[in-house]
Amino acid sequence: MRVRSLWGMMALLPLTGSAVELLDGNLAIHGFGSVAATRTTSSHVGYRQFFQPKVQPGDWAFNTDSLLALQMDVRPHEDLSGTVQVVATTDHTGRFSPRVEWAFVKYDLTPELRLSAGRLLSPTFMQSEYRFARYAFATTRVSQQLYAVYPLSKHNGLSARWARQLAGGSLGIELWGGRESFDVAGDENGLARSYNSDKLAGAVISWENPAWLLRGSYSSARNVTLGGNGYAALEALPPALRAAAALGCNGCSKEADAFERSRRTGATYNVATIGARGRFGEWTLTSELAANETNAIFGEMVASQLTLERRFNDWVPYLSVGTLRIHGNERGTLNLVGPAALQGAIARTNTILDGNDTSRNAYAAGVRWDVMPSVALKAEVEHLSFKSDRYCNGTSPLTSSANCLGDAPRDKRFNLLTLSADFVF
Amino acid sequence: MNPIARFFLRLLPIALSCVALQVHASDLLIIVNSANLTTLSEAQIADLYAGKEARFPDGRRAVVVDQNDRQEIKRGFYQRLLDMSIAQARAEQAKLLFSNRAAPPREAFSSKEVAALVGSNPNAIGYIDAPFLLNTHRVLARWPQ
Repeated sequence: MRVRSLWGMMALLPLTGSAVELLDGNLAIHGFGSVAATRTTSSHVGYRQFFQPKVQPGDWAFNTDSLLALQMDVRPHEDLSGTVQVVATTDHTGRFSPRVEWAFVKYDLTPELRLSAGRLLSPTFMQSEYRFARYAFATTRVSQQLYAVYPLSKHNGLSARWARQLAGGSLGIELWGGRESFDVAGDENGLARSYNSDKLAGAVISWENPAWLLRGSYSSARNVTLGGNGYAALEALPPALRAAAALGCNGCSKEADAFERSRRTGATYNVATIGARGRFGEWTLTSELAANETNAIFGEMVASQLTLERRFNDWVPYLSVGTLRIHGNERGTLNLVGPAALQGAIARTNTILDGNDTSRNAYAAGVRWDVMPSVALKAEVEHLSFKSDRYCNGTSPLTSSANCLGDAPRDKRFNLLTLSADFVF
Repeated sequence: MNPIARFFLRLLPIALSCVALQVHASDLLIIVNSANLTTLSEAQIADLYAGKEARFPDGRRAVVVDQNDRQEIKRGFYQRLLDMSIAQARAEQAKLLFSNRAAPPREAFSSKEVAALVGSNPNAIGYIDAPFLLNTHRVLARWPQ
Protein backbone atom coordinates (compact mmCIF):
# COMPACT_ATOMS: atom_id res chain seq x y z
CA MET A 1 0.00 0.00 0.00
CA ARG A 2 2.81 2.36 0.94
CA VAL A 3 4.59 1.65 -2.33
CA ARG A 4 1.40 2.18 -4.34
CA SER A 5 0.95 5.55 -2.65
CA LEU A 6 4.47 6.45 -3.71
CA TRP A 7 3.70 5.64 -7.34
CA GLY A 8 0.52 7.69 -7.08
CA MET A 9 2.55 10.62 -5.83
CA MET A 10 5.01 10.13 -8.66
CA ALA A 11 2.20 10.27 -11.19
CA LEU A 12 1.08 13.62 -9.77
CA LEU A 13 4.53 15.21 -9.77
CA PRO A 14 4.45 16.61 -13.32
CA LEU A 15 1.15 18.29 -12.52
CA THR A 16 2.61 20.21 -9.61
CA GLY A 17 4.40 22.64 -11.89
CA SER A 18 7.89 23.38 -13.01
CA ALA A 19 11.26 23.13 -11.42
CA VAL A 20 12.17 25.12 -8.35
CA GLU A 21 14.53 28.02 -9.03
CA LEU A 22 16.02 30.12 -6.25
CA LEU A 23 18.79 32.66 -5.76
CA ASP A 24 18.12 34.42 -9.06
CA GLY A 25 18.24 31.13 -10.92
CA ASN A 26 21.59 30.05 -9.44
CA LEU A 27 20.00 27.16 -7.55
CA ALA A 28 17.57 24.94 -9.41
CA ILE A 29 15.86 21.66 -8.57
CA HIS A 30 14.56 19.55 -11.42
CA GLY A 31 13.39 15.99 -11.57
CA PHE A 32 12.18 13.17 -13.73
CA GLY A 33 10.53 9.84 -13.31
CA SER A 34 8.66 6.92 -14.77
CA VAL A 35 5.65 4.99 -13.58
CA ALA A 36 5.99 1.78 -15.55
CA ALA A 37 4.06 -1.48 -15.62
CA THR A 38 5.69 -4.53 -17.18
CA ARG A 39 4.81 -8.18 -17.72
CA THR A 40 5.63 -11.04 -20.01
CA THR A 41 3.04 -13.08 -21.87
CA SER A 42 4.51 -16.24 -20.35
CA SER A 43 3.28 -17.73 -17.09
CA HIS A 44 6.77 -19.16 -16.52
CA VAL A 45 9.07 -16.16 -16.70
CA GLY A 46 8.97 -12.65 -15.33
CA TYR A 47 10.72 -9.49 -16.40
CA ARG A 48 13.29 -7.59 -14.33
CA GLN A 49 16.39 -5.52 -14.95
CA PHE A 50 19.20 -8.04 -14.81
CA PHE A 51 20.70 -6.80 -11.53
CA GLN A 52 17.32 -6.98 -9.74
CA PRO A 53 16.02 -10.02 -7.84
CA LYS A 54 13.68 -12.58 -9.34
CA VAL A 55 10.09 -11.40 -9.91
CA GLN A 56 6.84 -13.34 -9.89
CA PRO A 57 5.76 -14.24 -13.43
CA GLY A 58 2.26 -13.68 -14.67
CA ASP A 59 1.32 -10.33 -13.13
CA TRP A 60 1.87 -6.73 -14.07
CA ALA A 61 4.90 -5.49 -12.13
CA PHE A 62 5.32 -1.85 -11.18
CA ASN A 63 8.62 -2.15 -9.37
CA THR A 64 11.05 -3.11 -12.12
CA ASP A 65 11.17 -0.03 -14.36
CA SER A 66 9.53 2.67 -12.21
CA LEU A 67 11.86 5.34 -10.92
CA LEU A 68 11.96 8.83 -9.48
CA ALA A 69 14.87 11.28 -9.59
CA LEU A 70 15.69 14.73 -8.24
CA GLN A 71 18.54 16.86 -9.46
CA MET A 72 19.86 19.97 -7.77
CA ASP A 73 22.14 22.35 -9.66
CA VAL A 74 24.00 25.14 -7.89
CA ARG A 75 26.00 27.83 -9.69
CA PRO A 76 27.90 29.97 -7.18
CA HIS A 77 30.05 31.46 -9.95
CA GLU A 78 29.61 31.92 -13.69
CA ASP A 79 32.17 29.21 -14.46
CA LEU A 80 31.70 26.94 -11.43
CA SER A 81 28.72 24.75 -10.68
CA GLY A 82 27.75 21.71 -8.67
CA THR A 83 25.18 18.98 -9.30
CA VAL A 84 23.64 16.29 -7.13
CA GLN A 85 21.26 13.77 -8.69
CA VAL A 86 19.46 11.19 -6.56
CA VAL A 87 17.68 8.34 -8.36
CA ALA A 88 15.27 5.97 -6.61
CA THR A 89 14.77 2.58 -8.28
CA THR A 90 14.36 -1.03 -7.29
CA ASP A 91 17.90 -2.08 -6.46
CA HIS A 92 19.68 -5.44 -6.32
CA THR A 93 18.11 -6.17 -2.93
CA GLY A 94 14.58 -5.68 -4.29
CA ARG A 95 13.95 -2.47 -2.35
CA PHE A 96 12.76 0.75 -3.99
CA SER A 97 15.51 2.93 -2.57
CA PRO A 98 17.34 6.14 -3.47
CA ARG A 99 20.99 6.27 -4.44
CA VAL A 100 23.27 9.17 -5.28
CA GLU A 101 23.77 8.84 -9.01
CA TRP A 102 25.76 12.07 -9.44
CA ALA A 103 27.52 14.39 -7.01
CA PHE A 104 30.15 16.52 -8.68
CA VAL A 105 31.52 19.98 -9.29
CA LYS A 106 32.45 21.25 -12.72
CA TYR A 107 34.55 24.19 -13.77
CA ASP A 108 34.75 25.84 -17.18
CA LEU A 109 38.47 26.41 -17.48
CA THR A 110 37.84 28.07 -20.84
CA PRO A 111 34.64 28.35 -22.89
CA GLU A 112 35.75 25.15 -24.68
CA LEU A 113 37.20 23.10 -21.81
CA ARG A 114 35.21 21.82 -18.83
CA LEU A 115 36.66 19.87 -15.90
CA SER A 116 34.46 17.78 -13.57
CA ALA A 117 35.25 15.88 -10.37
CA GLY A 118 33.16 13.72 -8.08
CA ARG A 119 30.57 11.06 -8.73
CA LEU A 120 30.13 11.30 -12.50
CA LEU A 121 28.14 9.60 -15.22
CA SER A 122 29.96 7.00 -17.31
CA PRO A 123 29.43 8.14 -20.92
CA THR A 124 29.86 4.82 -22.70
CA PHE A 125 26.76 4.76 -24.93
CA MET A 126 24.82 7.38 -26.88
CA GLN A 127 22.04 7.45 -24.28
CA SER A 128 24.22 6.86 -21.20
CA GLU A 129 24.08 10.49 -20.22
CA TYR A 130 20.29 10.51 -19.79
CA ARG A 131 19.49 6.78 -19.66
CA PHE A 132 17.21 7.12 -16.62
CA ALA A 133 15.40 10.26 -17.89
CA ARG A 134 13.17 8.26 -20.22
CA TYR A 135 11.04 11.29 -21.06
CA ALA A 136 14.04 12.40 -23.16
CA PHE A 137 13.67 9.57 -25.70
CA ALA A 138 10.90 7.74 -27.52
CA THR A 139 11.38 4.14 -26.37
CA THR A 140 10.27 2.77 -23.00
CA ARG A 141 13.85 2.10 -21.87
CA VAL A 142 17.39 2.02 -23.21
CA SER A 143 18.45 -1.15 -25.03
CA GLN A 144 19.07 -3.94 -22.54
CA GLN A 145 21.11 -5.81 -25.12
CA LEU A 146 23.49 -2.89 -25.59
CA TYR A 147 23.80 -1.94 -21.93
CA ALA A 148 24.52 -5.57 -20.96
CA VAL A 149 27.96 -5.05 -22.49
CA TYR A 150 28.77 -2.24 -20.02
CA PRO A 151 26.11 -1.87 -17.33
CA LEU A 152 27.86 0.76 -15.20
CA SER A 153 26.12 4.14 -15.25
CA LYS A 154 28.49 6.11 -13.00
CA HIS A 155 31.91 6.22 -11.41
CA ASN A 156 33.86 8.21 -8.85
CA GLY A 157 36.57 10.18 -10.58
CA LEU A 158 37.45 12.98 -12.96
CA SER A 159 36.53 14.02 -16.47
CA ALA A 160 37.62 16.65 -18.96
CA ARG A 161 35.41 17.66 -21.88
CA TRP A 162 36.57 19.81 -24.75
CA ALA A 163 34.11 21.07 -27.36
CA ARG A 164 34.28 23.43 -30.31
CA GLN A 165 32.46 24.17 -33.54
CA LEU A 166 33.74 22.26 -36.55
CA ALA A 167 32.36 21.84 -40.08
CA GLY A 168 28.94 23.22 -39.21
CA GLY A 169 28.57 21.07 -36.12
CA SER A 170 29.82 20.65 -32.58
CA LEU A 171 32.86 18.44 -32.00
CA GLY A 172 33.27 17.08 -28.47
CA ILE A 173 36.04 15.01 -26.91
CA GLU A 174 35.78 13.70 -23.37
CA LEU A 175 38.35 11.84 -21.28
CA TRP A 176 37.36 10.29 -17.97
CA GLY A 177 38.70 8.01 -15.26
CA GLY A 178 37.84 6.70 -11.82
CA ARG A 179 36.62 3.66 -9.91
CA GLU A 180 33.29 1.92 -9.27
CA SER A 181 31.64 -1.23 -8.00
CA PHE A 182 28.39 -2.85 -9.07
CA ASP A 183 26.12 -5.32 -7.25
CA VAL A 184 23.87 -7.94 -8.81
CA ALA A 185 21.09 -9.75 -6.97
CA GLY A 186 21.39 -13.41 -6.09
CA ASP A 187 20.66 -15.91 -8.84
CA GLU A 188 18.31 -18.88 -8.58
CA ASN A 189 20.68 -20.47 -6.08
CA GLY A 190 20.83 -17.29 -3.99
CA LEU A 191 24.35 -16.51 -5.10
CA ALA A 192 24.88 -12.74 -5.36
CA ARG A 193 27.67 -11.19 -7.38
CA SER A 194 29.59 -7.94 -7.30
CA TYR A 195 32.05 -6.35 -9.70
CA ASN A 196 34.77 -3.91 -8.70
CA SER A 197 37.32 -1.90 -10.60
CA ASP A 198 39.66 0.75 -9.23
CA LYS A 199 41.00 1.68 -12.67
CA LEU A 200 38.24 2.80 -14.99
CA ALA A 201 39.11 5.06 -17.89
CA GLY A 202 37.54 6.04 -21.16
CA ALA A 203 37.32 8.42 -24.07
CA VAL A 204 34.39 9.67 -26.12
CA ILE A 205 34.44 11.56 -29.39
CA SER A 206 31.29 12.96 -30.95
CA TRP A 207 30.23 15.35 -33.68
CA GLU A 208 26.72 16.70 -33.88
CA ASN A 209 24.74 19.05 -36.06
CA PRO A 210 20.93 19.42 -36.26
CA ALA A 211 20.67 16.44 -38.64
CA TRP A 212 23.41 14.08 -37.52
CA LEU A 213 25.12 12.74 -34.42
CA LEU A 214 28.21 10.58 -34.88
CA ARG A 215 29.79 9.07 -31.80
CA GLY A 216 32.47 6.62 -30.73
CA SER A 217 33.73 5.59 -27.30
CA TYR A 218 36.27 3.36 -25.63
CA SER A 219 35.94 2.31 -21.99
CA SER A 220 38.52 0.30 -20.12
CA ALA A 221 38.25 -1.38 -16.72
CA ARG A 222 41.44 -2.72 -15.14
CA ASN A 223 41.91 -4.56 -11.85
CA VAL A 224 38.39 -5.99 -12.24
CA THR A 225 37.63 -8.37 -9.38
CA LEU A 226 34.47 -10.33 -8.80
CA GLY A 227 33.00 -10.64 -5.32
CA GLY A 228 29.87 -11.80 -3.55
CA ASN A 229 28.97 -15.30 -2.44
CA GLY A 230 28.19 -16.15 -6.07
CA TYR A 231 31.87 -16.06 -6.91
CA ALA A 232 33.17 -17.09 -3.47
CA ALA A 233 31.48 -20.45 -4.12
CA LEU A 234 33.83 -20.95 -7.04
CA GLU A 235 37.04 -20.75 -4.99
CA ALA A 236 37.69 -24.48 -5.34
CA LEU A 237 37.62 -24.47 -9.14
CA PRO A 238 41.09 -23.09 -10.06
CA PRO A 239 43.09 -25.75 -8.16
CA ALA A 240 40.86 -28.47 -9.62
CA LEU A 241 41.24 -27.05 -13.13
CA ARG A 242 45.02 -26.93 -12.79
CA ALA A 243 45.03 -30.57 -11.69
CA ALA A 244 42.83 -31.41 -14.67
CA ALA A 245 45.19 -29.54 -17.00
CA ALA A 246 48.04 -31.77 -15.82
CA LEU A 247 45.90 -34.78 -16.79
CA GLY A 248 45.29 -33.49 -20.31
CA CYS A 249 42.26 -31.19 -20.08
CA ASN A 250 42.53 -28.77 -22.98
CA GLY A 251 41.78 -25.20 -21.93
CA CYS A 252 41.56 -25.96 -18.19
CA SER A 253 44.76 -24.08 -17.43
CA LYS A 254 43.49 -21.03 -19.33
CA GLU A 255 40.19 -21.05 -17.46
CA ALA A 256 41.99 -21.50 -14.14
CA ASP A 257 44.00 -18.36 -14.95
CA ALA A 258 40.77 -16.51 -15.82
CA PHE A 259 39.22 -17.51 -12.48
CA GLU A 260 42.34 -16.42 -10.59
CA ARG A 261 42.39 -13.07 -12.37
CA SER A 262 38.70 -12.52 -11.81
CA ARG A 263 38.84 -13.37 -8.11
CA ARG A 264 42.25 -12.11 -6.98
CA THR A 265 44.76 -10.41 -9.25
CA GLY A 266 42.33 -8.42 -11.36
CA ALA A 267 41.14 -8.86 -14.93
CA THR A 268 40.72 -6.39 -17.78
CA TYR A 269 37.47 -5.52 -19.50
CA ASN A 270 37.44 -3.16 -22.49
CA VAL A 271 34.44 -1.91 -24.45
CA ALA A 272 34.34 -0.07 -27.78
CA THR A 273 31.20 1.51 -29.22
CA ILE A 274 30.25 3.31 -32.38
CA GLY A 275 26.92 5.00 -32.99
CA ALA A 276 25.06 7.37 -35.28
CA ARG A 277 21.75 9.19 -35.30
CA GLY A 278 20.18 10.82 -38.33
CA ARG A 279 17.13 13.08 -38.46
CA PHE A 280 15.31 13.31 -41.77
CA GLY A 281 12.32 15.56 -41.30
CA GLU A 282 9.91 13.68 -39.04
CA TRP A 283 11.99 10.50 -39.20
CA THR A 284 14.82 9.61 -36.81
CA LEU A 285 17.12 6.63 -37.25
CA THR A 286 19.46 5.64 -34.42
CA SER A 287 22.01 2.84 -34.46
CA GLU A 288 24.76 1.72 -32.12
CA LEU A 289 27.19 -1.16 -31.94
CA ALA A 290 29.21 -2.27 -28.90
CA ALA A 291 31.79 -4.99 -28.38
CA ASN A 292 33.98 -6.00 -25.47
CA GLU A 293 37.20 -7.93 -24.93
CA THR A 294 38.10 -9.43 -21.59
CA ASN A 295 40.36 -11.95 -19.90
CA ALA A 296 37.86 -12.49 -17.06
CA ILE A 297 35.59 -15.54 -16.83
CA PHE A 298 32.61 -14.00 -18.57
CA GLY A 299 32.28 -14.13 -22.28
CA GLU A 300 33.04 -11.67 -25.00
CA MET A 301 29.98 -9.86 -26.27
CA VAL A 302 28.81 -7.99 -29.36
CA ALA A 303 25.56 -6.03 -29.17
CA SER A 304 23.73 -3.79 -31.59
CA GLN A 305 20.61 -1.67 -31.62
CA LEU A 306 18.71 -0.03 -34.48
CA THR A 307 15.67 2.19 -33.84
CA LEU A 308 13.45 3.96 -36.36
CA GLU A 309 11.02 6.66 -35.17
CA ARG A 310 8.43 8.75 -37.00
CA ARG A 311 6.73 11.77 -35.42
CA PHE A 312 3.07 12.54 -36.15
CA ASN A 313 2.47 15.69 -34.09
CA ASP A 314 2.22 14.38 -30.51
CA TRP A 315 2.60 10.71 -31.47
CA VAL A 316 5.87 8.89 -32.10
CA PRO A 317 5.54 5.26 -33.22
CA TYR A 318 8.82 3.36 -33.40
CA LEU A 319 10.37 0.03 -34.32
CA SER A 320 13.63 -1.35 -32.98
CA VAL A 321 15.85 -4.36 -33.48
CA GLY A 322 18.49 -5.36 -30.96
CA THR A 323 20.95 -8.22 -30.82
CA LEU A 324 23.31 -9.64 -28.23
CA ARG A 325 25.87 -12.31 -29.03
CA ILE A 326 27.94 -13.87 -26.25
CA HIS A 327 30.89 -15.98 -27.32
CA GLY A 328 31.81 -17.37 -23.91
CA ASN A 329 30.25 -20.75 -24.53
CA GLU A 330 32.47 -21.40 -27.52
CA ARG A 331 35.34 -21.95 -25.10
CA GLY A 332 33.13 -23.73 -22.59
CA THR A 333 33.65 -27.26 -23.86
CA LEU A 334 36.41 -28.48 -21.58
CA ASN A 335 36.96 -32.20 -21.89
CA LEU A 336 36.31 -34.30 -18.79
CA VAL A 337 39.43 -36.02 -17.43
CA GLY A 338 40.57 -37.64 -14.21
CA PRO A 339 38.59 -38.95 -11.26
CA ALA A 340 34.91 -38.16 -10.67
CA ALA A 341 35.59 -35.18 -8.37
CA LEU A 342 37.78 -33.56 -10.98
CA GLN A 343 35.27 -34.25 -13.71
CA GLY A 344 32.64 -32.60 -11.51
CA ALA A 345 34.74 -29.44 -11.27
CA ILE A 346 35.27 -29.38 -15.03
CA ALA A 347 31.56 -29.93 -15.66
CA ARG A 348 30.77 -27.10 -13.22
CA THR A 349 33.12 -24.81 -15.17
CA ASN A 350 31.46 -25.78 -18.45
CA THR A 351 28.08 -24.98 -16.91
CA ILE A 352 29.28 -21.55 -15.75
CA LEU A 353 30.74 -20.67 -19.13
CA ASP A 354 27.71 -21.99 -21.01
CA GLY A 355 25.25 -20.51 -18.53
CA ASN A 356 26.40 -16.99 -19.36
CA ASP A 357 25.14 -17.38 -22.90
CA THR A 358 22.05 -15.17 -23.02
CA SER A 359 22.55 -14.41 -26.73
CA ARG A 360 19.29 -13.10 -28.10
CA ASN A 361 17.44 -11.00 -30.64
CA ALA A 362 14.93 -8.38 -29.49
CA TYR A 363 12.29 -6.86 -31.77
CA ALA A 364 10.18 -4.03 -30.36
CA ALA A 365 7.25 -1.97 -31.60
CA GLY A 366 5.91 0.89 -29.55
CA VAL A 367 4.43 4.34 -29.46
CA ARG A 368 5.02 7.52 -27.46
CA TRP A 369 2.21 10.01 -26.92
CA ASP A 370 3.05 13.47 -25.61
CA VAL A 371 -0.20 13.74 -23.74
CA MET A 372 0.75 17.06 -22.13
CA PRO A 373 3.90 19.16 -21.82
CA SER A 374 6.33 17.25 -19.59
CA VAL A 375 4.37 13.98 -19.65
CA ALA A 376 4.68 11.19 -22.22
CA LEU A 377 2.69 7.95 -22.22
CA LYS A 378 4.33 4.96 -23.87
CA ALA A 379 3.32 1.45 -24.83
CA GLU A 380 5.64 -1.23 -26.19
CA VAL A 381 5.65 -4.88 -27.18
CA GLU A 382 9.08 -6.51 -27.31
CA HIS A 383 9.66 -9.98 -28.69
CA LEU A 384 12.72 -11.73 -27.24
CA SER A 385 14.21 -14.73 -28.98
CA PHE A 386 16.98 -16.55 -27.09
CA LYS A 387 19.64 -18.79 -28.55
CA SER A 388 20.18 -20.92 -25.44
CA ASP A 389 17.98 -22.57 -22.82
CA ARG A 390 19.75 -20.41 -20.22
CA TYR A 391 17.51 -17.47 -20.99
CA CYS A 392 17.20 -16.33 -17.38
CA ASN A 393 20.89 -16.27 -16.46
CA GLY A 394 23.55 -13.60 -16.58
CA THR A 395 22.43 -10.35 -18.17
CA SER A 396 19.05 -11.65 -19.29
CA PRO A 397 16.04 -9.50 -18.39
CA LEU A 398 13.96 -12.62 -17.70
CA THR A 399 13.69 -14.72 -14.55
CA SER A 400 12.01 -18.04 -14.06
CA SER A 401 9.77 -19.22 -11.25
CA ALA A 402 11.58 -22.53 -11.25
CA ASN A 403 14.80 -23.73 -12.81
CA CYS A 404 15.43 -21.71 -15.94
CA LEU A 405 16.87 -24.67 -17.82
CA GLY A 406 14.12 -26.73 -19.36
CA ASP A 407 11.31 -24.40 -18.37
CA ALA A 408 8.59 -23.77 -20.96
CA PRO A 409 8.32 -22.61 -23.67
CA ARG A 410 10.76 -24.77 -25.55
CA ASP A 411 11.16 -22.34 -28.43
CA LYS A 412 12.85 -19.81 -26.08
CA ARG A 413 10.69 -16.94 -27.35
CA PHE A 414 8.92 -14.44 -25.08
CA ASN A 415 6.91 -11.26 -25.36
CA LEU A 416 7.45 -8.39 -22.96
CA LEU A 417 4.72 -5.75 -22.56
CA THR A 418 5.45 -2.31 -21.12
CA LEU A 419 3.16 0.62 -20.31
CA SER A 420 4.71 3.74 -18.84
CA ALA A 421 4.18 7.38 -18.00
CA ASP A 422 7.46 9.29 -18.19
CA PHE A 423 7.70 12.84 -16.92
CA VAL A 424 10.02 15.72 -16.10
CA PHE A 425 9.45 18.59 -13.74
CA MET B 1 14.48 68.65 -17.54
CA ASN B 2 10.74 68.72 -17.01
CA PRO B 3 8.89 65.44 -16.30
CA ILE B 4 7.09 65.37 -19.65
CA ALA B 5 10.32 65.74 -21.60
CA ARG B 6 11.94 63.07 -19.42
CA PHE B 7 9.00 60.73 -20.09
CA PHE B 8 9.29 61.15 -23.85
CA LEU B 9 13.06 60.76 -23.68
CA ARG B 10 12.62 57.41 -21.95
CA LEU B 11 10.24 56.29 -24.66
CA LEU B 12 12.68 57.26 -27.38
CA PRO B 13 14.65 53.93 -27.54
CA ILE B 14 11.40 51.98 -27.79
CA ALA B 15 10.10 54.31 -30.46
CA LEU B 16 13.33 54.00 -32.44
CA SER B 17 13.27 50.19 -32.09
CA CYS B 18 9.69 50.10 -33.27
CA VAL B 19 10.39 52.34 -36.24
CA ALA B 20 13.54 50.44 -37.20
CA LEU B 21 11.88 47.04 -36.93
CA GLN B 22 8.34 48.09 -37.80
CA VAL B 23 6.93 46.52 -34.65
CA HIS B 24 3.23 45.69 -34.54
CA ALA B 25 1.27 44.98 -31.39
CA SER B 26 0.82 41.32 -32.34
CA ASP B 27 4.50 40.70 -33.06
CA LEU B 28 6.77 38.36 -31.16
CA LEU B 29 9.98 40.12 -30.14
CA ILE B 30 13.27 38.47 -29.20
CA ILE B 31 14.98 40.81 -26.77
CA VAL B 32 18.11 41.33 -24.74
CA ASN B 33 18.93 43.93 -22.14
CA SER B 34 19.63 47.37 -23.61
CA ALA B 35 23.16 47.19 -22.13
CA ASN B 36 23.84 44.07 -24.20
CA LEU B 37 25.20 45.19 -27.56
CA THR B 38 25.60 41.71 -29.01
CA THR B 39 24.07 40.74 -32.33
CA LEU B 40 22.80 37.21 -32.86
CA SER B 41 21.66 35.36 -35.95
CA GLU B 42 18.53 33.23 -35.78
CA ALA B 43 20.78 30.14 -35.73
CA GLN B 44 22.70 31.49 -32.74
CA ILE B 45 19.45 32.20 -30.90
CA ALA B 46 18.32 28.65 -31.72
CA ASP B 47 21.55 27.25 -30.26
CA LEU B 48 20.96 29.18 -27.02
CA TYR B 49 17.39 27.89 -26.65
CA ALA B 50 18.37 24.34 -27.65
CA GLY B 51 21.10 24.41 -24.98
CA LYS B 52 23.84 23.80 -27.52
CA GLU B 53 25.43 27.15 -26.74
CA ALA B 54 25.58 28.70 -23.27
CA ARG B 55 27.33 31.99 -24.01
CA PHE B 56 26.96 35.10 -26.12
CA PRO B 57 29.58 35.62 -28.84
CA ASP B 58 31.48 37.99 -26.51
CA GLY B 59 31.97 35.12 -24.02
CA ARG B 60 29.44 36.14 -21.38
CA ARG B 61 27.22 33.35 -20.08
CA ALA B 62 23.66 33.86 -21.33
CA VAL B 63 20.63 33.72 -19.04
CA VAL B 64 18.04 32.24 -21.38
CA VAL B 65 14.47 33.03 -20.35
CA ASP B 66 11.57 30.92 -21.59
CA GLN B 67 7.81 31.26 -21.31
CA ASN B 68 5.49 28.92 -19.48
CA ASP B 69 4.09 25.97 -21.48
CA ARG B 70 0.60 27.41 -21.19
CA GLN B 71 1.53 30.59 -23.09
CA GLU B 72 0.48 30.47 -26.74
CA ILE B 73 3.51 32.55 -27.73
CA LYS B 74 5.78 29.61 -26.78
CA ARG B 75 4.23 27.27 -29.34
CA GLY B 76 4.92 29.65 -32.25
CA PHE B 77 8.39 30.49 -30.96
CA TYR B 78 9.64 26.90 -30.84
CA GLN B 79 7.93 25.96 -34.09
CA ARG B 80 9.69 28.74 -35.97
CA LEU B 81 13.02 28.72 -34.14
CA LEU B 82 13.65 24.96 -33.80
CA ASP B 83 10.90 23.44 -35.96
CA MET B 84 9.75 21.57 -32.86
CA SER B 85 6.61 21.26 -30.79
CA ILE B 86 6.88 22.26 -27.13
CA ALA B 87 6.99 18.57 -26.16
CA GLN B 88 9.84 17.91 -28.61
CA ALA B 89 11.76 20.92 -27.37
CA ARG B 90 11.23 19.85 -23.75
CA ALA B 91 12.51 16.34 -24.53
CA GLU B 92 15.64 17.82 -26.14
CA GLN B 93 16.16 20.14 -23.18
CA ALA B 94 15.71 17.18 -20.81
CA LYS B 95 18.53 15.36 -22.62
CA LEU B 96 20.84 18.30 -22.01
CA LEU B 97 19.73 18.98 -18.45
CA PHE B 98 19.86 15.40 -17.27
CA SER B 99 23.16 14.76 -19.03
CA ASN B 100 24.44 17.90 -17.33
CA ARG B 101 25.55 19.42 -20.61
CA ALA B 102 23.49 22.57 -20.20
CA ALA B 103 21.02 24.27 -17.92
CA PRO B 104 17.49 24.59 -19.27
CA PRO B 105 16.08 28.07 -19.85
CA ARG B 106 14.67 29.88 -16.83
CA GLU B 107 10.90 29.75 -17.01
CA ALA B 108 8.75 32.84 -16.62
CA PHE B 109 4.98 32.79 -16.42
CA SER B 110 4.18 35.62 -18.85
CA SER B 111 5.60 38.13 -21.29
CA LYS B 112 5.43 40.67 -18.49
CA GLU B 113 7.68 38.57 -16.29
CA VAL B 114 10.10 37.88 -19.16
CA ALA B 115 10.21 41.62 -19.85
CA ALA B 116 11.07 42.35 -16.22
CA LEU B 117 13.78 39.65 -16.07
CA VAL B 118 15.47 40.74 -19.30
CA GLY B 119 15.17 44.39 -18.38
CA SER B 120 16.97 43.84 -15.10
CA ASN B 121 19.69 41.41 -16.21
CA PRO B 122 22.33 42.46 -18.78
CA ASN B 123 23.01 38.78 -19.64
CA ALA B 124 19.40 37.77 -20.23
CA ILE B 125 17.66 36.94 -23.50
CA GLY B 126 13.94 36.30 -23.89
CA TYR B 127 10.92 36.61 -26.15
CA ILE B 128 7.75 38.60 -25.52
CA ASP B 129 4.59 39.94 -27.07
CA ALA B 130 5.33 43.39 -28.51
CA PRO B 131 3.19 45.43 -26.06
CA PHE B 132 5.54 44.41 -23.20
CA LEU B 133 8.62 46.02 -24.76
CA LEU B 134 10.46 48.35 -22.31
CA ASN B 135 13.10 50.98 -22.79
CA THR B 136 15.53 48.66 -20.95
CA HIS B 137 15.30 46.19 -23.86
CA ARG B 138 17.00 45.92 -27.20
CA VAL B 139 15.18 44.04 -29.95
CA LEU B 140 17.18 41.34 -31.75
CA ALA B 141 14.39 40.06 -33.98
CA ARG B 142 10.72 40.62 -34.74
CA TRP B 143 8.44 37.88 -35.93
CA PRO B 144 4.86 38.53 -37.03
CA GLN B 145 2.43 36.20 -35.24
